[in-house]
Amino acid sequence: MGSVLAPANGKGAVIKLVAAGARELYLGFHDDAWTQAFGPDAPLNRLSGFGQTANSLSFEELLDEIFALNQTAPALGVGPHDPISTYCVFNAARYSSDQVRYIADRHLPQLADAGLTGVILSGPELIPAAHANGLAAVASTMCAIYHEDLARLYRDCGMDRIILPRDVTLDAIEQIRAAVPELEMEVFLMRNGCIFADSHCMGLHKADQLALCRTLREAPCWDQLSDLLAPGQEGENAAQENDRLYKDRFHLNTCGLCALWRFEQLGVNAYKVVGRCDGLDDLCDDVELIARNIRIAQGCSSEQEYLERMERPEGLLELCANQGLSCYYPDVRF
Amino acid sequence: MHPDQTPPEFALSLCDVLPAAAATPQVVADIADRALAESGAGSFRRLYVGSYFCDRLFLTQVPAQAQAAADFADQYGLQLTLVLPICSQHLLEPVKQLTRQLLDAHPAIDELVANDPAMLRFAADLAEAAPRPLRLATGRLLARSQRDPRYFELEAGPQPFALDDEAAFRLENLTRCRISRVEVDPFAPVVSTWRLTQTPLALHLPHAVMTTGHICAPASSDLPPERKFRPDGPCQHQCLQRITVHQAANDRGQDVFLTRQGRTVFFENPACVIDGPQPQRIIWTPADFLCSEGGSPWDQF
Repeated sequence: MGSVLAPANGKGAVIKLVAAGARELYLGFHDDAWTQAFGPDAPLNRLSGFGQTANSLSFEELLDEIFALNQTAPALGVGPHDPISTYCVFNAARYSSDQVRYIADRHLPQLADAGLTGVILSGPELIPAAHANGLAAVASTMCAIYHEDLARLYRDCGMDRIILPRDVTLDAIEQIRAAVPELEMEVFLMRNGCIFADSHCMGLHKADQLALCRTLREAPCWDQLSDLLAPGQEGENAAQENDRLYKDRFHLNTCGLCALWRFEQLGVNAYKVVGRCDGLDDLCDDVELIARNIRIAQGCSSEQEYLERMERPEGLLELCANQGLSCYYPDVRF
Repeated sequence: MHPDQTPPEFALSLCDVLPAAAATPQVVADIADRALAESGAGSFRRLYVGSYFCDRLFLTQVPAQAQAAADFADQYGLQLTLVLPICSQHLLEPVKQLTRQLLDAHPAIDELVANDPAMLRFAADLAEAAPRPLRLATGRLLARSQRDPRYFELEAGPQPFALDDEAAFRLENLTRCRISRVEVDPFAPVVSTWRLTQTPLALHLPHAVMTTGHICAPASSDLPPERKFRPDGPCQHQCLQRITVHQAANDRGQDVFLTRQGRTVFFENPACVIDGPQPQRIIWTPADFLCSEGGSPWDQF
């Protein structure tokens, strides 16, 4: 049975998310010493540009949260048969050799001592240090694992789990799963869609200008036509309507619950709820919803049965009415 | 530029811009003439064919593109570089197969460019088995320095934005192959290369890639809403029919123009200055992506 993986940001978030049903958590942190060493524009993780909004915990506070979770787990009714895993993100687009050494020497040993399970990495350079500290290595979406050759490559260099990007089809997920059955696999399931590929989105994710996709949605625009190739039959009106749907309705919020039965059959290990900047109450609601649907899926003998019995997001029914434009995996129903 | 450094050679890239329907040696010649005027290059020594961003485009457009380029190259004694795209799962094997066919069909191809580590490994296997020397280069999508024209103060120089040999070495370790060249974009007003001393550099001009992915908005134009914007969906090469220019603003309120072509968003930075060892090659893509003014202004967005 797959686990619900949720983002934990802020003191006490870990405990609340576990109480809601999350069994895996991913966390980031801010580190003033890192900033001093490498400058304010040197990201420690993918969301460092959002400062403490996405990374409210300092490194020391993060260690305390992980340690406290492990101490509290029995009181939450979580036992050895229902373990909780915690992952820390080191998924900036790239790190220099100095930065790799810094993370390996200063962060990983202490995280391991606190009881962290693993680290989410944007490349293979920290795998040896992770393993040396008894930490699992997880290939982030920054590794761009879009096909089985990449999955094998990262398996061979030591990754223990791969996170598949948002923009892959269910068929592709199944084929990659078949190609690397020995690897753990994590997929996106709820919130915060993205219209581009994490791995190749090189604009800054910062609070000032927000993400590039936001800029593209809001900026005035116009077309220029090819000198060599006439526009297709669809014409200008269809192109404008297409662009309107892309900007106004596509992946503003996202859900993949309909694919859960299929993922359970595949043996997917973790279902990711996205949103380190999002409100804790909303995240807990999503965690509970996914956990209930996992139990429903476990009791269904077919995908059709699951689709009839599943619990849709309450209060977010506009997701389901958005003609597939809010679906992580629209190929299930459309 | 260092006074004792040889001026860079110029290469013309037809990647992701030349449609199969228009791919003839004469069109290539016309593009080359236009690009010579834009770039200030005295001549082009090489043509790039293939795709950086789209496996579907690679499969449908590149055979004709490569043939036209090869015919033109033959006339003028140019060499060809074949660029392999980022691939989806379901088009991975067809892309590999076509790559082998193109290598067999066009002996002028003496260099392969890959944009993901696994395709780099695949290219290395081809190079090992090839009857002629084939060099390997890492494509622009493997140089993931952050870049953002929406921030006025962003300049290379501080370490996070500097290029260095480490990335190439890591890829070589990861893929067990020897990289002959690293491609980069003009991602900042000033790009430092003082730590890039071991690996020859090729600089793309005049555009830098900001983002790309596997979902193509223009490809969905013909499709009903419930079929739109799927990864690796079908298309009619709408990306070669039109581009979309977005007028944004930087943090000082100055205009910033972002161009979306198919899956990819670019910004223009032809005045990029290299601080340090200079690139041995400039890869020039037509500045207007072969699309002229004359489309429709969509001020409502």
